[in-house]
Amino acid sequence: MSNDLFKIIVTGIAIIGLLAVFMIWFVIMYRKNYVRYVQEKKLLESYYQQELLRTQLEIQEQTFKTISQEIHDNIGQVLSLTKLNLSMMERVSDATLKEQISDSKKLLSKAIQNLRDLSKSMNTDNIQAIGLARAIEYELELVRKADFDSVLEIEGGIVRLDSQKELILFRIMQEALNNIIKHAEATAIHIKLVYTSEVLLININDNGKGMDCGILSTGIDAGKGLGLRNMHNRAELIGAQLNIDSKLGYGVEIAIVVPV
Amino acid sequence: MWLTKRIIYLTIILLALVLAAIKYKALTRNMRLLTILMAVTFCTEVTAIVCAYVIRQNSFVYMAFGFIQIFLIMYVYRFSFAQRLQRIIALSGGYSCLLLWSITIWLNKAWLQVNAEGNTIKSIYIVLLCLLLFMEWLRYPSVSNILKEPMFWVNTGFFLFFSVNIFFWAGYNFFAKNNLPMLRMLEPIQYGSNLFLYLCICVSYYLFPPARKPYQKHE
Repeated sequence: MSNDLFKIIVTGIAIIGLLAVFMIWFVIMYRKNYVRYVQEKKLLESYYQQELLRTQLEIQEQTFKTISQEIHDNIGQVLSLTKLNLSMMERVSDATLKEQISDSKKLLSKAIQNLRDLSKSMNTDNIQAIGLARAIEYELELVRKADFDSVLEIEGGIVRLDSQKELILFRIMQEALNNIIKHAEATAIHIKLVYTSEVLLININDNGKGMDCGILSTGIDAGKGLGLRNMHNRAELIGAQLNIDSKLGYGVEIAIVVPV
Repeated sequence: MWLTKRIIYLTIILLALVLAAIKYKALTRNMRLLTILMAVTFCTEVTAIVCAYVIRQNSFVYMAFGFIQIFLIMYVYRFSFAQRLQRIIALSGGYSCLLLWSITIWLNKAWLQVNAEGNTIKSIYIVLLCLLLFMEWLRYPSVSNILKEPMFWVNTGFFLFFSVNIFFWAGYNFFAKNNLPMLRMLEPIQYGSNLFLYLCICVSYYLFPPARKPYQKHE
């Protein structure tokens, strides 16, 4: 009888013990799976975001290309024709009218040049053809015309990156320049490209009013700094690291590290 | 002693019913069906006690209860599963189980005795449902803390109780014929697991409403 009782107790403990072990195993496995599930979900979301951004950029580049072509082929032609007409009208004897026509011609020449610059700056094919360094140099020339003291410094031998990467880096740089011109109240811009065997370092500095880095990060999170967020997203898309450092009154430094 | 045990048992069921009544509006469809099952269980147990005292026979009460229990548990799980295949298994398995329950009663002429075979089949079916739900949660974990999910406690309770029941009912006829004292000794294990089940159900009602909708469709 006591032997039977012992057997029952052992069997009972064994059954309950097994079930308890199963439940503990289940909870542990569930937690592991949940962590994996969250990671997979994040990965999928990030992949989706990247795809979305890629598509947006493709559309944007296509739009730029169309506008650039339109400026070059259509508006540019019309303005050139207008300039030619004005040249023919210059033959009139009235001195005042002659002067007005001459001024109009100068303004038209400036408009044509500005449009050509804009067309080049927007043209994807042009940027991809001349390379990142030259495209930046060209962009800085335009900035100089707006009375900014701008310098491009290049260290190491220029290495051509993947054309898509160069285009995205150029757009980031354009966004940065645009921000400086619009908001920084700066007078000087300094861009440095450092080519090493493994990475390309891009530093964009200005001497503007700067900003609070805390506000900078919360601004990005809250969806306020759309331009800055775009820069971050674009950098992420090509596997680059983008860091913005700033202090009130000391300008802004944007550092981009991209694998070659 | 028998009556004391029954009173403890009924008190816990009553507690679960009170908790369910308090949170009834927040309950999901599966939990509402479980509440109906709890109410039926309470009525069955009271009727069984009365019958035991008055006519010295209450097996037929449990026979009828078996049908309702299988039917309600089948639908509790049907509404708990997120995947179509599991739902089909729950329903087809449930109706097969109901059929087998009827066949075992008819074959054993068991209206006036314990339907051990039927109980074993029923327990196997419910344990399988529990395992399927555990598997589904492992494949699609959608909440960070499973311990805070009401259905987890229901499933754990059912799993432990009916696992013990498989062993209990599978050996019931043998022990009843050959070693009745051993059967008497096995009963506390079954009774304990039964109390555990109802405590788990109380916990599940207590946890309602969950932090967020736990079961998402993964079809």
